[in-house]
Amino acid sequence: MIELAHPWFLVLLVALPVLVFGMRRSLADFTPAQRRACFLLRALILVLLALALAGVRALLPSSEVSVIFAVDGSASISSEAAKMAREFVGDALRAQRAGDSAGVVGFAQTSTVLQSPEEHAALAQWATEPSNAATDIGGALAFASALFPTDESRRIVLLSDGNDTGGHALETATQLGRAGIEVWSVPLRNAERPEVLVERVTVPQRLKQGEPFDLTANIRSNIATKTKVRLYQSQFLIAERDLDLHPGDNAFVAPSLHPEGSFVPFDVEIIPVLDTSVENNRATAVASLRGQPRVLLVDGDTAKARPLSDALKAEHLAVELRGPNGAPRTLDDLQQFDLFLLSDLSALTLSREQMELYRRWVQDFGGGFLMLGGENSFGVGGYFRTPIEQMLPVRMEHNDREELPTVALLIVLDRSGSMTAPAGGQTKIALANQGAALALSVLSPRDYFGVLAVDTQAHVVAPLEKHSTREPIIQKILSVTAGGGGIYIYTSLAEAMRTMREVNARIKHVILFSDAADAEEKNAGAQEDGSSGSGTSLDLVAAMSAAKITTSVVALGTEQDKDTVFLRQLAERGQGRFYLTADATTLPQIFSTETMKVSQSSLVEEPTQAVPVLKSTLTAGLDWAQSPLLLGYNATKPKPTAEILLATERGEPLLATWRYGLGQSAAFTSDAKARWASEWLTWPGYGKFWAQLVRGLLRKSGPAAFEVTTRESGERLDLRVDAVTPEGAFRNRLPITITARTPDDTTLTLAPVQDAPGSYRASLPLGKDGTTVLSISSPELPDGGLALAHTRSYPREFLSTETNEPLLRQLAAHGRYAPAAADIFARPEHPLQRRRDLTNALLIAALLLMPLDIFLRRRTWRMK
Amino acid sequence: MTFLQPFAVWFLAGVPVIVLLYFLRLKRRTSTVSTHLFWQRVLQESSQRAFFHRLRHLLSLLLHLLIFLLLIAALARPVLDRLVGEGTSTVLILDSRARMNATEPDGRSRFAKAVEQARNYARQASGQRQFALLTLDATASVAVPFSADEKPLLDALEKLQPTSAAGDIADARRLADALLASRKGERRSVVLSAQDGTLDNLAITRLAARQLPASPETSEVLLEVQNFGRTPAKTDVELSLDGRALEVKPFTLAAGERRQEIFTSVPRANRSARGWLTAKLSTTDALALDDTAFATLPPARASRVLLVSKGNIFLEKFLAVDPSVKFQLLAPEAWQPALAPKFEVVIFDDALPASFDLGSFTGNFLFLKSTPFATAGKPLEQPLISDVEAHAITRNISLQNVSIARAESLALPAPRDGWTFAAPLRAFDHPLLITAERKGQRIAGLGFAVLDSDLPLRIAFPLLMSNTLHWLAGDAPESAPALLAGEMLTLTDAQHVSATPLTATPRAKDALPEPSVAGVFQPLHNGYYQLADAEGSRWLAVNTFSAAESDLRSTASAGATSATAQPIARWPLWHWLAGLAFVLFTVEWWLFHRRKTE
Repeated sequence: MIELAHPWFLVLLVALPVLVFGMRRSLADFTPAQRRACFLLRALILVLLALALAGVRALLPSSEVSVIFAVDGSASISSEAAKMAREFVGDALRAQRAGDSAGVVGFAQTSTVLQSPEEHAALAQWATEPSNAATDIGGALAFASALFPTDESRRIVLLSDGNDTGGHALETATQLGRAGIEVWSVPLRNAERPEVLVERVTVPQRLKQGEPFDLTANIRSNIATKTKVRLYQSQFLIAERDLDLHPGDNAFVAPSLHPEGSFVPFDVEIIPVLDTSVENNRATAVASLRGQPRVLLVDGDTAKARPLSDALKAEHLAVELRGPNGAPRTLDDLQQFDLFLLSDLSALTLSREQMELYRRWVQDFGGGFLMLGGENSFGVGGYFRTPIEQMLPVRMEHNDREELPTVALLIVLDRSGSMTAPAGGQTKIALANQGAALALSVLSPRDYFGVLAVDTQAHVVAPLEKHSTREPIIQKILSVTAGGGGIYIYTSLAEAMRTMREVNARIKHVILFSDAADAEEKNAGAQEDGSSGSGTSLDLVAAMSAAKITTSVVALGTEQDKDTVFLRQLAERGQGRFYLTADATTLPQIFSTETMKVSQSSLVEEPTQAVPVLKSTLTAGLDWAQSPLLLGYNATKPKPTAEILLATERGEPLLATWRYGLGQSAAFTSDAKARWASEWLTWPGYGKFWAQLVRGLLRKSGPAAFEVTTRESGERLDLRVDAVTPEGAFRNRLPITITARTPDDTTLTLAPVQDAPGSYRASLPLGKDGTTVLSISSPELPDGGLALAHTRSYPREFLSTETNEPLLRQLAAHGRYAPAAADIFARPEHPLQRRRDLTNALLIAALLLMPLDIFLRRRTWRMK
Repeated sequence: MTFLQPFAVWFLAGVPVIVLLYFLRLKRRTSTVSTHLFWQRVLQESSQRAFFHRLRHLLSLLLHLLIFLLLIAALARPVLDRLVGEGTSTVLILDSRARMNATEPDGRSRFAKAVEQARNYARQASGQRQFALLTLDATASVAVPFSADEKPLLDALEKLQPTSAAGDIADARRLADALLASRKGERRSVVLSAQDGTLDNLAITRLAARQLPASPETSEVLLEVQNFGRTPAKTDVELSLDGRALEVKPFTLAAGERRQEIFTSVPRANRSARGWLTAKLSTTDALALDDTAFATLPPARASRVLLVSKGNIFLEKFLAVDPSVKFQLLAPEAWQPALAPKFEVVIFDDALPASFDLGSFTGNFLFLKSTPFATAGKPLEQPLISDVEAHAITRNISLQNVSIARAESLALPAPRDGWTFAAPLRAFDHPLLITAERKGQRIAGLGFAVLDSDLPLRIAFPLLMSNTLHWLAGDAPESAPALLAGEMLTLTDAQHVSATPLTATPRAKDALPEPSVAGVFQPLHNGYYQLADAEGSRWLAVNTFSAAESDLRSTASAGATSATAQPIARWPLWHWLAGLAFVLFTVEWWLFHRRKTE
C-alpha cells in the first residue's frame, strides 16, 4: 500500500505530455529506439521526482509492539513488591522480539521516565521516586501514552497495587482504550505484613451544646491483633482503651461524650502490637456544637479574676478562667469559645503571632473580644501599636492632659556587635530601634526625648530635647546600626547623667538597653578606652537617682547570662524597673510599656463615676447614677467609628464597642476586680452588667443561612454554598466571604462565585494534611454565619496497603489483567501498518538514473 | 545552513561521470548519399557554426550539472530556518481551547492560523528533526508522539478542530517538558496559539436554572453577561425554552463590566418537552461560541400520591394545589396493599393499616401521627422542636417555635434487615420524625398529627410536605444536569451519551444522534447531549463559561510564554530544490529536442 503526504504534487506529471510533445517535434538525430529509451528514462526520472515531492510512503505490515511499563513507586508499595515489579519488567524485556521497543515510567504523585523507549531495551538502573505520598495512576497512564513511537502497536503495562489517590485512572484508561492504546495491568502484592490503621473518625457535624453523642472510629486491620486506642479531645487525652482487633473493619465507640465549646477536635490514635505504617495510626474529626455560649477569661492573676468569673457563671454563662500561660496559641483552641475576655495581662506575655491570631479570629471568624483595664492592660500593658490595639475601638496614644508632669526620657541603646544577631526576621538592633521610636510616639510634644547609641563610646542619635516634628528623628533612630565590642555601661550612664542635668523636667528617666551577656565597663577605668576616673556604675546610677534621675534597664538575655545580676542591681539602684527578655521581638512592647509607665499618661488612678453616653442594650436596665465609683482606669482615646457607651467623668472612654470584621470587639478601660472596681464587686448591678455586656459581644449564632458541602478534588477542596431563605426562595447576589485557616496556619479569604440561583462555589488549595477551619458569612446576614471544619488526617496513600484488584481489572478492560511476563510482547490482535518514507529512495534513484539518461543520449545507436 | 542528510555529498562523485560523458565524441552514423556536392557546403557552414555548437554543448553540460547538484542538495535536506535548526526534538503545542474559535479581522479563525503554522513546522520533520504534536483543550494530550515523518503530523492536523473547552497552557507545558526530558540533543517546545492583538468580545459567562425549593414547578434562571471589550457595548439577550422565546432583556455594559440577571418564575417544561433553555446574544463579535448558552429545565413529572385519610382539609388542599402531585383520596377502610405499587407515595393520615410492618408492603409510605415505629412511653405533651438535622426533608425549612399540642414518644429503631433510620426532627431525646430507607424503598413517620399543631399555618408546612413527598418519590430536584466543556462524567453501566451535540431544536423529521458513548463522557463542544439510561433519556447542557477563554483582549491570557511560534517557511527548502530540478529537467528535454542544446 502506498500513501502520499502531498498528493497535489502529482500535478507535476503534466510535464510528461510536454516530453512527448517535445519528442515528437524533435530535431535531434536519434534513432527511434534511442528516442524511446531516452523518453522512458527521462519520464521515469521525472515521475520519481514528482513522487518524492508528493511524499510517497509505503505502508508495510507491522507486528512490532511498543511497550511502556508504568511502575508504581508510591509509599504503599513495599520493597518486596518493588523488587517483584523490577523482576517482572526484566523478564518481560527478555521476551522482546526484533523491532519491539520498550521504556519504563516510574510514578507516584508525579511520573518520570526511568528508561527512555528504545528498541530491544535492556533493564537499566532506575532512580527512586522523590515524592511518593500519593498515587496518580491516571496521570501515569497519560504520561506513558505520550512516550510511544508512531506506527507501532502501543501497550502500557501498569505495575501497581491499584491504590489510586488521583481519582481519574478509570477515565484515562477508557480514553486510552478509545485511542487504540492497550492497558495491561499487573497487580503488585505486598508481602503479607501487619497493617492497622484508623480509617475514619465519625462525629456528628452539628451538635447541640450539652447533647451527648457517640464517637465512632473505624479501625481496619489485616490481622488479628491487639491495640491501645487513645482518644484526645482538644489535644487532651480523655480515654484510653485496649481493643482486640480481628481482620477487617473494627469499630471503636466512645459513648456519651459531652464536649464543651463551639468547635471541638477529637483525635483517635492507635498503638497496635503489630503494625507496619505509622502514618495512618491517627485520625481527626471536628464536632461543631451550638447552644450554650462559652467565654474565655484570661487574666494575669486568676485569683483576682474570680469575682468576674463567678458573676458570669451565676448568669448561666460557661466561663473558662485561665492564667497568663493559658492564652490561646492556636485557632482550634480559640474556636472553642464565643468571647475572649483579656483582663490585665501584659502584652509581654503574648507573642505578636498570638495577638494577630486574636485579631483574625474576631475579624474573620466572628469571635467576640473584650479587653479589660488594669496596670498591665492597654498602653501601659504594652499593647500600643499591636494587632490588639488595631482591633479595639480605642487608641492608646499619649495623653496630652495639661496636669501631667513633663517627662525627660533618654534611651541608651546597646549598639555592640552582638546586636547584629537575627531575631524574628530582623536584627536585634533593628527591634531595639523600633522600640525607641515607639517610645517617642508615646510621649507628648511637651516631653523631652533623646537617644544615645553606645558601644565603646556614646553617640548621640537624637539630642535630648522637645521634638515638634518626629518623623526625621524616628528615621534617624531606625537607622542606628550595630558597632563592635560590648556596651560600656559607665560611659553610657555618665553621658546620660550629663545630658539629663541640662534639661528642666519633673520626671527624668533613663532606659538602658543592654545585652545581658555583653555589658562591659561596670566601673570607671575598667576599660582603657573607656571613662577615666574612679567609681562604679552602681554608684553612678545611685547618684543619678539622688539627682531624681531614675533608670530602668531592659536586658536581652536570660537569667543565666553573666551580666544579668549586675543589670538587675543597676535597675534597683536607679529606682527603675528591670525587664529581662530572651525574645528580641518583644522589645518594642517593652519600650512602649516602660515609657507609658514613666510618663504616667496611661494610668489614671482617681475615682470616677461611669457616665452613660449612648443608649445600648449592653448598658440598659442599670441605674448608672447610683453605680459605685471606679477607682481608676486606663486612659485611651476613641477611634472615629467607635460607640462610646460609658465614659469617665473626664469624658474618656470607659466602655467602647464596635464591629470589627465579622465579630465585635470592646474595651472596658477600668477593671472588674478589687484594684479599681472594689466598690462594684458588691454592687447589685455588677453581675447583670457583665452578663449583659458579655452576651452582647458573643459570637452571633443564629440559624445558619447557608448549607455548605465540601468535596476533595485532588489537592483542592471544593465548596458549594447553598443560600436559601427559610421560605424556600433563593438568596441571590449575596456577598459571601469564606475564610479558611489551613493546617499550615495560612488564612485564606475567598469570595465565592454565584453559579446558579442560590448557589455559590469556591475552591481552595488543601496544602498539608490536617484540619481546615472554614467560616462562611455574609455582611447581609450578620447572624447567619456558619463555621465548619474539613479534616484530612493523613495522605490517602496510607489508607490502604492491600491490592485493589477490582480497579486493576477495570483498567485492563482494553488489555489483559495479570499477564505473564513472557506474554507482554505478544503480537497484537490488530497489527498496525508501519509507514516507510520513500522520498530519499526516490531522490537517490533519480540521481543514479541521471548519468544513464545522459549516457543514453550521447552514445551512438546503430541503425538496423 | 545545516544539512540534515550530509551523506548526500557522496553523490558528488557523479559529477565527473557526467562531465566525462560529455567528453564522449559522438560517432556519426554512416549513411549512403548520392552526391558530396551539398555536404561540402554543409561542412563549410558547419565550421562557421562551430562556436555556437560548442556553446550548446557547454550549456547542456551546465544544465545537467545544475540539475544533478540541485538533486544532491535536495537529498541533503538543507535547513535555513533558524528556529527549525535549533531543536532535534520539538514539541508543537496546538492550542485548541475555546478562545481559538475567535475570528481575526482578516476573516480567518485563530485556530486555522495556528494549524497552518503547525503544518509548516510538520513539513520540516526528518530523522534529525523530530516533532511531537500536543493539543491543549481541557487537558493536554498527545496527538502524535515524536515522529520523523511529516505524514502522521499532517494527518492529525487535518483532523483537529478547536474545542469549546477552557484549559491551562501550563498543563501542556508540563507535558511537553516531561516528553522532552527523555529526549537527547537539542529540545524545545513551541506554542501555537493566538498571536495577534486584542479582540473585543461580549460573552454569556453563566446560565443556570434551578427549581425553587418552595415551588418546584417554577425555576429561577441565572444569566451572566460580561463585556470583554475596550468600549461599552449594547446587546439584547433572548431567553428561550425549546425554541420558544420567553423573554428578551436589553443589556448595556461598560468596558469590562460583568452583570448577573435573575429571571424569576420560569415555568417548568411540560412532560413532552425537551426542556432546552437557551440564551442568545443579539450581537455578533469575534467569538461566536460564547454568544449562546445552554441549560436545561427538567420536564415536570407529577408524582402519583394516594392519601388514605378520614379527611384532612390542610393536607388535601396542599396536595390539590401542588402541581407536582397527582393525588387521590381514599377512605382507610378501602385500603388494600395491592394499591401501593400504583402510586409513588402513599400517605396514611392517622390510619395505620393493621399488621403493617417494615418491608411487609412494597412502596413508599408517609405516616402521620400513627406510625409503624415503636413508641417509648407516654405521648409527649406540647413538645418543642429542639433539633433539626440536615436531611433532604428538612432542607431549607425553618421550624423554630412550631407549637405542637401532642406527639407520640417515638423511639429510633436500630438498623436491621437493610433498613437505616434517621431522626431529622427531635424534641430533645425524642424523635418527632423518623425516616427509614433501604434499597428502593423509603418510609417516613411523623409522630404527630398536623392538625394537632400550628404547622399548617406556617410557611414551612408546604415546604416540609413537598420535601417529604419528593424524597419519598425519589425525586432529585437538583438534578438538572450541566457540564463545562471538557469536564469528565463517569457514566454508569446503563448510561450512554450522544457523541455529538445539538445546538438548535431539530425538526421533527430529523434523526437525533444516538447515545453511543459509554464509560467516560468528555464533551468538548457546547450544546445539548442526550443521556440515556434505564429510566429513559434526558438532556445534558454543555457550555464553556470561562472568562479566561472569552477575554480576547490580550494574548497574555492565552498563556503563551517563551517559545511562541515564529513564522517559518511554508515549504522546506528541499522541496524548492527538487521542484526546480524537475522543471529544469523538463525544460532541458525541450531545449535538446529543439536543438538549443546538445
